[in-house]
Amino acid sequence: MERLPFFLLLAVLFCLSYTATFGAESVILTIREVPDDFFDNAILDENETCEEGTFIVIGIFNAPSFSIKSLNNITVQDANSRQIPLQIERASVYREFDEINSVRLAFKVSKEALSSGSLRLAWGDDVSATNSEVERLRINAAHKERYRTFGWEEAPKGGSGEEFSSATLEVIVDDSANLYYLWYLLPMALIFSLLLVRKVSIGNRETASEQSQ
Amino acid sequence: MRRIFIIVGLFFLASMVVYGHLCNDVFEQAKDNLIVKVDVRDGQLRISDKGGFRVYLLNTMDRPIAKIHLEVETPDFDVQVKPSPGWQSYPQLQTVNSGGKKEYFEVELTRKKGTKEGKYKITLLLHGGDRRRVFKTMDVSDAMAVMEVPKKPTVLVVDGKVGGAEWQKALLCTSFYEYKKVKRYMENFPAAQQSRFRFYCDEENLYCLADFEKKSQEGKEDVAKIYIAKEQDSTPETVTINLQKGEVTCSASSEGIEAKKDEDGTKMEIKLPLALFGFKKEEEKKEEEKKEKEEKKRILFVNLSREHNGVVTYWRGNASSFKNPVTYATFILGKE
Repeated sequence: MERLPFFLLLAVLFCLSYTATFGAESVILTIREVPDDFFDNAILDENETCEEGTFIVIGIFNAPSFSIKSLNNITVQDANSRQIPLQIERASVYREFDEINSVRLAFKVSKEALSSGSLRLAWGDDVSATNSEVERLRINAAHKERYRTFGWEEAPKGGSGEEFSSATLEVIVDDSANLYYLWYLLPMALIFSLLLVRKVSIGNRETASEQSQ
Repeated sequence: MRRIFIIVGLFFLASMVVYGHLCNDVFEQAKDNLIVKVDVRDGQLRISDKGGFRVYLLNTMDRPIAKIHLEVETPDFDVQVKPSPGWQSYPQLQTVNSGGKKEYFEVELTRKKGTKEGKYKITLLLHGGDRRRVFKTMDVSDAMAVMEVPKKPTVLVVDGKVGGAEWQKALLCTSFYEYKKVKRYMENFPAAQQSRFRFYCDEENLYCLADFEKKSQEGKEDVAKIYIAKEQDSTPETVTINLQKGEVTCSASSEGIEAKKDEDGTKMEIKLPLALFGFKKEEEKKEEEKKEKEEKKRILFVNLSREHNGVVTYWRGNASSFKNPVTYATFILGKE
């Protein structure tokens, strides 16, 4: 009984780590090698730790639809939907019209987590994460081979990963498709018709008045 | 005899290195260096019995692609895929770095008997002969790159005072890339110094908010460019935005351009007359054209780049392709 609150707390924390991000937007992250000049302009710090079998992934995220109010409204999830803690670089945060639109962030991920499936970056008001902030991200040059960066792709809407390697295009079959692109002539046709009707009715009136004379 | 075998063996090895159509390298390099554009003009393919579209390709790698094929899969249409008549080296796709040019596949769809009116999906696959190995993940919406430019709100004034009410609903173009070396190959990476461009339009003008995010450093050039073409095959005009000087010029003419820098010195509001890009001004249209309610869509092909502290960043494409309209996005200008 005494341990009940503790277990309840554990259960809540466990659920929070799987926080639903329904209604949030998301993209699939593609983890990549860093460019050759990655370490040239980096702030180096030999005290930055990196456990064996872990990659440190650093990159900028600024997709056009990315817009959040708080730095805890963004998260990265592994293939089991578990949140991965993020470290966000305060100096890189860019705001437009009072919303955050661009951040540079870092996270650690094990080789096993990478090989077990895609990482997903999610953001929005429904996302609740506990991210840490630093003024500038630091890099340990002694572990160059452990650093990676990321790109992103739109998450496929349903279907298997196999389908993602091809692309689909929507085609509309419309029996009047050949006429569809002519519809902008409709107003012109209407004007011509009205002018024709007017001419005919004027002609008829003139004929009628001549006959009455 | 042994020498002959060695020479022949070396010859085949050399061929594989040069063409690389069987190794993983070309598929890796193609991710950022094979430009694909699906030409469905206003983003919607509508057919009665027959219809078609083109898939444009531009190879900006350091070597040709030995074989490239396009497959279109659909149970609802008969499909014919043909390389363009001028593509003499097909199925090889030459690189622009060795004189290659934009090529295309012509796709013709014929409605099958029993295919009723409605919406259908067709699948596009680019591969090198073995359909299990595709050249790149093709995001069709990105390959078509059709974007609507909304009508300018009445509150918008080009005065250097940038407000959310003015610009928040404009079309946003951001996520610029730097073209960098990773071991053997060149790839696109998010630019360290980002840019954000927003667009509106009205009957006569294109409005742009160029956000450089940071002030330019003293003595260091910071220039953005907007490339605009009225047709996909025409030479684009270049609009140059110089942040330090607060000046905007156009290769066609600078007549009618207005530009104002904001107080922070990081943004510029710009008005660009559409007449500079080949659209007629209202008073130049003939009477009958004025009477005709213009439902025809106005389209521009657009790309963006920026040079900041000697580093060039691109919105679409890379160093070899960013000036080629096949890379450009299609802007559909809002109607009344």
